[in-house]
Amino acid sequence: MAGLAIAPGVTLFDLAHGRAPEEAASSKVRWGMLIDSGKCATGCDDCVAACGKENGFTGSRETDSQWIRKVEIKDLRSGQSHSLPMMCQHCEHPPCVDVCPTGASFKRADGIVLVDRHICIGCRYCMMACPYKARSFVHEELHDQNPDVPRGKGCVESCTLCVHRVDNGGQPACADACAGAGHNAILFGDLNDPSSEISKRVATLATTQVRADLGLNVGVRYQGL
Amino acid sequence: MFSLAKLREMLTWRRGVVLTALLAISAVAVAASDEFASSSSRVAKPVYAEGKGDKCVKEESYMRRHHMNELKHHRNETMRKGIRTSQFSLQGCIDCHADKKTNSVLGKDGFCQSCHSYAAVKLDCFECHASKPKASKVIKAMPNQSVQTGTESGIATELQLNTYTETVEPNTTSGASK
Repeated sequence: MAGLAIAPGVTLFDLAHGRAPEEAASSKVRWGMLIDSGKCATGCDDCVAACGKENGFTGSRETDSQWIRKVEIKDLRSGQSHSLPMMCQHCEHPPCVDVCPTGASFKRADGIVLVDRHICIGCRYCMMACPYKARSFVHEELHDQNPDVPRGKGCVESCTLCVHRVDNGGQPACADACAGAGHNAILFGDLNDPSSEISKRVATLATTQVRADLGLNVGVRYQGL
Repeated sequence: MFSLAKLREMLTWRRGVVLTALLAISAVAVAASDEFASSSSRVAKPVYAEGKGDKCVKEESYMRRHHMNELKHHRNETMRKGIRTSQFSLQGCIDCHADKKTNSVLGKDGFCQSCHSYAAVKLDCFECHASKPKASKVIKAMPNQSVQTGTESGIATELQLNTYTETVEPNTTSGASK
């Protein structure tokens, strides 16, 4: 976890994390994730399971939403393979927002790309526009939703970067689960804060944006690809 | 001996009386049926169950008339800007007004549904939003987060030293509410 220990059991976190409830999300912050594919274990899907548990889908039904999926990639010549989670990349210039006819798809000031289900008409244009196949359509009626994660039939949805947790000073469920399993492959933090762990690693290590050629400046970066 | 003209005049007078009488009777009947409807209504009266808290976030008369506007305003603030104040949060309403038996604001005696049925106003919040309070009201706080997280400030400060995983774990719906 990104933080500085100041006493046993007490860790100092970047101030951006401690936002008061009445304070709006600020563009001084840019939330992002750094995924170390070297640490991401083949066959492990703890992040996917944690996402489903947190946000209320199991993947047991064929029509269930998929906010995060594990991808195995292999270089056929060398045989080198990588395992990595793929989800909404929270682009700085999101194509889903560009194409949305109602303004339901939007980017929050702190870089989190969301769907406002109150005005989403379920046209699925954003699903076609997304180069990462990150979005899902809810085909069936849902029950027993997480009170923090309202979801319903007829809307498109995708990874929210667990915005309800982030607003309360937490981090996404996938990052928690990955750390809980001891892999620590997912690092969450503020890309705009030069002192944050993620910024330091992005500044010093070779990290990749998937489909960087599209110039979307994604918020989710990969290391070791 | 009556003349024909006189007979006709008398008949029209009688018709007039009959018509007036009929009108009077039907008026009384309508009034009576109105009274009947109001005393034993065909539509169930809404249930105003006591909330769990001491008082509402604003006067009840104001809330009855304006709750939809406040909720809509709050939803946009939360959705678009991430402002998560507690005063007009839908979650706050549900936490307080969930029925003691069913633990929900829906159902025949549910706080929201009973009134909306009475007023014949469609209630579509709960197609997406949970109609039950959170299974465990645990505030998710990063270690050493000194900022109050909205609901109960006391708990927020208490949780400061807990490890993050401990505070987060039990907070899922589908499993907990079943």
